[in-house]
Amino acid sequence: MKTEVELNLTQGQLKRKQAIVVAGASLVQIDEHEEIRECFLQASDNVDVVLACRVSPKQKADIVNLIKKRFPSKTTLSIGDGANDVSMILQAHVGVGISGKEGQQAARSADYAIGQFKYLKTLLFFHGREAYRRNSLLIVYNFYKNFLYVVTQFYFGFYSTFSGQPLYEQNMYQLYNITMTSLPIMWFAVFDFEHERDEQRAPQPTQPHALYFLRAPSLYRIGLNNECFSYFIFIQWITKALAHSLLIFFAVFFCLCQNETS
Amino acid sequence: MCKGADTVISERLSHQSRESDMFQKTEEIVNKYAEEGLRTLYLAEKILDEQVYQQWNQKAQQAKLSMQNREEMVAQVDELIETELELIGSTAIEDRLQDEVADTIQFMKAAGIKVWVLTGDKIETAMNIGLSAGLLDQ
Repeated sequence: MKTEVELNLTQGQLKRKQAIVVAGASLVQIDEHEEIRECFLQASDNVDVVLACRVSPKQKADIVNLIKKRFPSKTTLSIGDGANDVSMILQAHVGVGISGKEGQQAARSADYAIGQFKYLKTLLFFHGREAYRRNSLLIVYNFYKNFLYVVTQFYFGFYSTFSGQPLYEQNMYQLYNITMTSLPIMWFAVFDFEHERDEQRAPQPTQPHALYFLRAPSLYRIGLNNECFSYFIFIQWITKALAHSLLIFFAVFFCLCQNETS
Repeated sequence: MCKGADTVISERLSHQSRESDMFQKTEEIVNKYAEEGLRTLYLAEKILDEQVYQQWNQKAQQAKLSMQNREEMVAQVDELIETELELIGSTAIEDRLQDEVADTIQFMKAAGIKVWVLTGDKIETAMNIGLSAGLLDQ
């Protein structure tokens, strides 16, 4: 049985850069036997490119599923333009459809529809990367602001014998979330870019060694390594919130206290 | 008349048609086209009697109306009629890659994204497209 499963390893120019070419019929065999499946997935993890030909629409979806199951921490993206790609687009974490000659089915079932394959670059490396960074910040910022807000109230409890007396004035208490959540983050989401998109969009004059999203692939790493939203970052923000709350509360409280007594 | 990938159609051809010179010649030509990166299809036909068709159509209607496993049932019924076909020829379509595909893929690889290409094409066509898309080098 094992001999029937043939993996052609085509050697690239560099030794490290190999590709697996596999046919649909072999994939059926691979899927049936757990050992071979594991072996295949391990091999696929070591190469840059896997090319599967002669696969049916259903198999395309199965392959996506297989990878999702084997590598749960990885994110999958399917991109396609035909009706044959619909099932795999639906199956992947992110589905991208290209609307064009082969009809609208792929674009209609996808999360994102683009006009041409090349726009995937802008979608991933500019919008995707920046959306990831800003969303991560939004989440930690939300924790930060609510923590800051509630913990000061808690400190006040020690001085009000936990009577439940509010520290803040009513209207301020209500408006805090609206103003602090919506306004700054809206500004941030619209105007914050870590780098420029490419040379054409850069303000004149450009710096000599500026990084551009569509020129430097290394900028995408933050998403792959999940650098913007990890436990470490989260704890960092919580610690910051704790420190700031202490500062705010005691600075204000003792200033006012002294005023009262004098 | 029906069209499909060469392996799929070949299975459904009549014995006679599969033995013919035409089949071999078509196979040769299609392989040549596939190596050039063209997308190939086989065309086949079958002449049906009115009676045979009516009988089959009844089954097909039933399958289409079934509440459970409809797709499976329809596929089964289709299998019944798509047999003993006569090969009539092949097509080869040039499907050029869009602009900047190779560039985009290179960039994705450089960024550390793993690329899987899943295609229904023949292996020769797929390899050819892989080469022009900058996925394979050789």
